[in-house]
Amino acid sequence: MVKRSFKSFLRFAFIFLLALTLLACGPFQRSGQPSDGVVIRALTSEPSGLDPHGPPGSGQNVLLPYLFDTLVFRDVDNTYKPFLAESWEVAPDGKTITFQLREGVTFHDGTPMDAQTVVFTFERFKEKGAKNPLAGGIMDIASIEAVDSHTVRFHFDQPSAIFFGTLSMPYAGILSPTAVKEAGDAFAQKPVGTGPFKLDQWEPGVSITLVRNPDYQWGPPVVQNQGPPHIEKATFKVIPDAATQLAALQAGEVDVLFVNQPGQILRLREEENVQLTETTLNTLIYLGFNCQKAPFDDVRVRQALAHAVNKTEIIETALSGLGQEAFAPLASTLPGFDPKLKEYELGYDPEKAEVLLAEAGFTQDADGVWVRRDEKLGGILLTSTRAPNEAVATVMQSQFKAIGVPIEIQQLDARAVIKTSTEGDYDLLLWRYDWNDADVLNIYLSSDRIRRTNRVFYSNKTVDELLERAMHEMDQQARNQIYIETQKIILAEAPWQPLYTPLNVLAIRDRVEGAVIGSMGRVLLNDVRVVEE
Amino acid sequence: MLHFLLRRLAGTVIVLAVVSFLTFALLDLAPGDAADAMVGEYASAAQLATVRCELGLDAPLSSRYLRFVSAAILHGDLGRSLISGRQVSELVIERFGHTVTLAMVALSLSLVVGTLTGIAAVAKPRGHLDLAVMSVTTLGLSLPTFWVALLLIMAFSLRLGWLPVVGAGGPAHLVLPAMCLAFPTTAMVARLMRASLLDVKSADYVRTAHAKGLAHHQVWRDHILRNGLIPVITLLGLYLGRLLGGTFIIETIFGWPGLGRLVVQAILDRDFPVIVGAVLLIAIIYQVLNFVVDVAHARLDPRVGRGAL
Repeated sequence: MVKRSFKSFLRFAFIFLLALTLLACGPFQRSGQPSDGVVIRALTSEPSGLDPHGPPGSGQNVLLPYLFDTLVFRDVDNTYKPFLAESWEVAPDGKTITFQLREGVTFHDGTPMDAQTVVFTFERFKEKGAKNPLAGGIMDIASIEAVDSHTVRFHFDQPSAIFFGTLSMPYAGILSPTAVKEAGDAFAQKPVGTGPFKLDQWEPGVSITLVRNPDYQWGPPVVQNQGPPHIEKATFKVIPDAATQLAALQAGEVDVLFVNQPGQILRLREEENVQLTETTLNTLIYLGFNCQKAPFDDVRVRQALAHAVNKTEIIETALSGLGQEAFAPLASTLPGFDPKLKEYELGYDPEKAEVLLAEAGFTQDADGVWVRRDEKLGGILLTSTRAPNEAVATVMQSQFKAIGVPIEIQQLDARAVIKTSTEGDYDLLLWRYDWNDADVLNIYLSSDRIRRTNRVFYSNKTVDELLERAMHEMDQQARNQIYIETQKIILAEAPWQPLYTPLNVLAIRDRVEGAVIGSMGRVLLNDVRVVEE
Repeated sequence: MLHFLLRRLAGTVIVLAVVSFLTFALLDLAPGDAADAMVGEYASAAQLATVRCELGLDAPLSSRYLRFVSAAILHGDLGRSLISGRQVSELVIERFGHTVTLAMVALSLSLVVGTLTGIAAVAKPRGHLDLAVMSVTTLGLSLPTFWVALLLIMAFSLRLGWLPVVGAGGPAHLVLPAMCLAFPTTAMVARLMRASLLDVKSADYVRTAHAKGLAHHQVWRDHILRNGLIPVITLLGLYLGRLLGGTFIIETIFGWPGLGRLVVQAILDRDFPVIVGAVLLIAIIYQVLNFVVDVAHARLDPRVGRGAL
């Protein structure tokens, strides 16, 4: 009796599970097509507010460019094109830059955009924007003056090479002084700019809808349609979960999706009706060494471990082949990168690693682990919980183990990693940057940023001087040359072992035609039309 | 009754004080603060110091806590989110509405379906229906919710195309998340109902009721069900508390704008006014629910009855 009932128990459970699974598999049907004239994009994290001078975030990065225009436009090839500024002139000493503004531009509230509004915007930024990542570039401005109604002049104490990069970022959009005064603290919920779209509706936690700006006539030069967008609305749906984002795209509830997880990219490649476009975020994933903590304060130990890393294997195993090996501290898409730096790479060479460790005074014990003065070589590899960090860290762990260096992986949430690494409480760090300028080396590796953004405690006077010079070098060619020299030193001293550049993809459904991809993964909707699939 | 109420109220005040202080203290121990979260990882030390000072995070824990308590008690002001600058009460209430809707639908679903299947199973113990109910409920309790959620999305949204994957708004958006939440609870209710009914069915007073000639349905209504429901109500009370505190995983998967997502995001951002506000709300919910469950117990079970109140 008992046996019989257990068997039928199992049978019922099995049938139920099978039915549910069968229902879940098989060809998918499309439900609820969004109406024409509306493009829907998935947003992983909702912006906390849409004030360009408020706290930054990935949601803000996506939305601000639709609401606010900037003085200059940065193209994918990192050149600057006119936008709200028609032309500009840099003084020979690089200390003043004069912008001629476009005429006839108005904000969403009807206020005309002129020199006064530009001055207002940047003065407000200097006052309020301490929390913004651009603050460094903005604080370089000594003063701003409105020369006449449509001419603005920026004064600097020292030439600032990062200024144009700063000006083209979404946070440097020009805002309406009238709206700011009217809304006060609530401006973050009621943003008013000159962008191609206006804020229509914000349903907290669910979606943000923008409606086209019918008066728009000043699109950036990279789009064909300088006038109002063809589509009526752009909706940004907040979908925190990556698997749901993919399902929403498959169900037709979302048209545009940013994907960076290898597994998902592979699945999307099989999806019909979806176009995949690679985007450049100037990302670099690297392995950092804690240069102030023994034994990693010894350059030979850092070099040895760098030689133990097999980047090809990492990309094949942890990323399903979806990534590009990196060898220079600057991402290959940033100005200042040079393919010739490849010859300075500390490539995969386990034998050389062993020679270097022996030189550094280490000997192998009975288990093959390297020991110096009774201290075993090894430590903690710190990284965040973000995918695919765990997989990459695990592959590296086995590569280090192969040469006799046991390491332990510690995964924390991103904030905790930043805090822990800033305090120097780790040995190895698997980390990344996405930045739009070569100045990122200054942020991460100059010695006056130690205990802040320089979390590997790397310090080299020559590197500091070179990076400082590059910051004030207005000639792009000369500036790139400085960065190439700097990278040679950095590669040799190995505070970082550059690992790879991940594949970042924008998935766009076929019904959306004409999307233009700008720099830093920006999707321009000016030319977009919605067609039937 | 009045005495009971006053005692409960005093208990609630103490609970809120302890909970708010513990939340403050624990957040103080977590690495990083809202200033770190806000400026991102590229900021300079000076920038960070400025923001930290602006937010008043440079003050010691005790003075920050006292400032919070005095604002909360004197002005009923829970403060503003450090990140978005919006009123905490506004943020929490906005999300709580969605959470309540989802919780109520899920709970009613589990109550109705769970009780009925429990009763059906008990009608003929060890019969086919009983076995089917027991096996499906075992699955309901053991399958991970996120997996069931993804399976439901694939089945009902992608394959059949009946229901939307994400969002909130129409009743259609409620179906999948409510089903996911209700699945394990229904299973629990059904099993508990079955066990409790089996227990009650063979009790002496039920035999007496039959013996004194009461009609079958009268015995069920007045004796078996009434007594069998007591443990189920205790369970649902506790479970409702959990649902009203927000269900982060389900909310994340279905993009439902509930309290759970707000709190988890606030924790990641170290946005302590929002965390404290939400935790206090959750503490109040538990207090209220415990109170309601106690009262319901007293009504259903005369033995607990007046003495408890």
